[in-house]
Amino acid sequence: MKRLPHGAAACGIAAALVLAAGLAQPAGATGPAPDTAPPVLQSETAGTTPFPGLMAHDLAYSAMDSVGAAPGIRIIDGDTARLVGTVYASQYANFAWAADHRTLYVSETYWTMGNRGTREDVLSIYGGPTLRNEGEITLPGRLISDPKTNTFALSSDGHYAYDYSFQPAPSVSVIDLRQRKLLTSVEIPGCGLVYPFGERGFASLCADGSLAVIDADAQGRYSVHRTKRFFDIMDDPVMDESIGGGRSGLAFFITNNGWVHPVHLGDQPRFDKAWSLEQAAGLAPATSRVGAITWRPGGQVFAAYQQSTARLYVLMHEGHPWSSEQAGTQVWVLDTRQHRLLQRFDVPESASLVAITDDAQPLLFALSGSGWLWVMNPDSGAVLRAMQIVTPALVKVRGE
Amino acid sequence: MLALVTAVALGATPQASSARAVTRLSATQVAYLTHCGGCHGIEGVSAPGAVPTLRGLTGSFLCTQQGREFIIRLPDVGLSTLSDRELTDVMNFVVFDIGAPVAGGKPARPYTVAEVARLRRQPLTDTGLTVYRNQVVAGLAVKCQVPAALHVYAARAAGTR
Amino acid sequence: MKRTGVDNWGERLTRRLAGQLSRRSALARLGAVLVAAPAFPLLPVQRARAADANTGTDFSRAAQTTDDQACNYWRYCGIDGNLCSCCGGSTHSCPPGSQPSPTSWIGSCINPADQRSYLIAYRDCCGSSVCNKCGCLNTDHAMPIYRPQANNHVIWCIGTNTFEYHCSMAVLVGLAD
Repeated sequence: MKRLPHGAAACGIAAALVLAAGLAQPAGATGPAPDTAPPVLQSETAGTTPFPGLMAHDLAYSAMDSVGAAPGIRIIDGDTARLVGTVYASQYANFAWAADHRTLYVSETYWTMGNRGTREDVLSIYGGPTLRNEGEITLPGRLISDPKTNTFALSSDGHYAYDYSFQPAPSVSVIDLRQRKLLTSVEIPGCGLVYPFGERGFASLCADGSLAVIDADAQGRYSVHRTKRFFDIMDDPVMDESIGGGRSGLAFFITNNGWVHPVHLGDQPRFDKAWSLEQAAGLAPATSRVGAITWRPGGQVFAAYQQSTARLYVLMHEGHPWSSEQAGTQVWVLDTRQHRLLQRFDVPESASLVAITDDAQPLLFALSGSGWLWVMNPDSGAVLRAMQIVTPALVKVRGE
Repeated sequence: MLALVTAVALGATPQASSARAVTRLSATQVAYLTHCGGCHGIEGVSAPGAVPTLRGLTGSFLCTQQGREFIIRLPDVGLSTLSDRELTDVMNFVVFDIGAPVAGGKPARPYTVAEVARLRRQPLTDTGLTVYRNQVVAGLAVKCQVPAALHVYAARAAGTR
Repeated sequence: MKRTGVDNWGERLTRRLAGQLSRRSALARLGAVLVAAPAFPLLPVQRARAADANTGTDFSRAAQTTDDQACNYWRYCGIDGNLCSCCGGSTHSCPPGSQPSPTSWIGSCINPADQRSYLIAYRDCCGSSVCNKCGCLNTDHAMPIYRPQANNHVIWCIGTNTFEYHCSMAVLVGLAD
């Protein structure tokens, strides 16, 4: 029986006709029948649109567990406000792109019976020309929480993945992505989150206001040591969605009251002097005093960093102390070298997530919990286009 | 049950007539509850297998010097934001009121502030805490009649040797 | 927040209103849903601590004590998710079909009636499909996820056989004096 053309739908009628054609040779004849092409019954064949990789103006976002919308990772073309593709993910998933921007890693959890049964924590891999599932790596456990960006991250060269686990004893799974297997699990008592640096190191924030530094020696043995406390956890904690170091290793740990702690991550982290977002805008620094209403950072993914310009884009709202998750009504653009406010834009309604591309003509993305994505000009604040989306959880752009 | 708890009498409000009394918590209990109780349980019993049970067991750690020091050196204990005095009160509450001292081994003396202040400066912040914990418990089991519930940790220590 | 869904009228409201309003105040403005007064054993009002503009937290100053299906009910100062009171349960009881988690985070809220601080255990009810009613996110003294003792984003189902989040309770632990 002749093979059906690649990608052709396995239509029963077509198959039957092909089979009939194959049976048309006389009984007892030697050799195959003369080569006859099967009848053309399909004008089009269906395959999958190739995925060119995450492009400079693309935004990938994961969905919050939201009734009416399946969880998953959706890729949007920022130039057209159209869907590029969608990858399935569990509730409470996190995701990261490989260095080639074509392979997608998803840290997620499933249960064999849906809400119960045997728990499966996995790192799923999607790739190839059509973002197909390429299997998964079993994880020893992971944190189940509302999604936070810094619970899952890759080393800058894409060799390792770090996944924060909470059983509730905290640890980090180190995964070798080239060998596609779990390397080890590192306990990080009293700390959480992962901010990678160097070849195989990462920092975690600690419940007492210090930073933990975790790195491996030449033999691959991990150790943990802590810095001094650099912020007051009970009065003004560093927010989970602070900005990691990326390739440069310069992280920005931002507190509820708008203090920015620039830290050069490494085995001996270097803490630059903290500066205040409010002061950068010519206001008094925010405090935690009851009734102290002022402009404050807030939202879910409330800040984004543009490496090439050293600019911070921060969602800000006017609010009380302890309002770090209140949606922002403005985006503030700050120069992190001069500690100066460059611009402030209103956002339509309010936004809880922000992202900025890093290319010749960057796009600013603002996303709302009510299901809107606004694509904005980061110089003028003009809204270029808008798109309805499902409730967003986490966002990634191509970045550096 | 938690010691030092006094129930507060209800006022003569209509809604209150069928409700229970409100537990009055001491400052030490409040500190335990807000720093530890969420995971370890309001009365020291929580999620079996996921969170170590404190109730009836923590007193065993006073049995050896190593055990006594261990629980103060735990990062979530020693590096908590409580003052030395507050932490000492909380840990004495944890070992004497929630826990129960056991026979054998060293006498179950309460922690002193000076002792806690010293031990907190040597926190066990490196990786390998679980293995060390199991070794400590194995040491307790050798010296004292620790409750059966602790034997599982001692057994794991034997398994890793 | 646990964006586990806002019931239909809530969602329309958040889309209609200007973004400045927090969800909490938006729901409060809809008017209180008539419910039986919560069976919270009230202490005799402490006149010694007069309620004035300088007491409490930003949350407690705007809180109320009569409607436990509204986000500004005094116990909910650190709650994140759907209120079990709107789901067939109560502030301290899980709706049928779900089970309470033994782990939680424990915060403290001020009762405006007596200006005193009470410890509240924000225990999740687990196992059933998300309730999708009365979504609230209050963050009074809530800590980031690396300080889990006071974090409201961890799915507090550790200790049950499931991580399916249904709703959040606000269980009274005691008076913090």
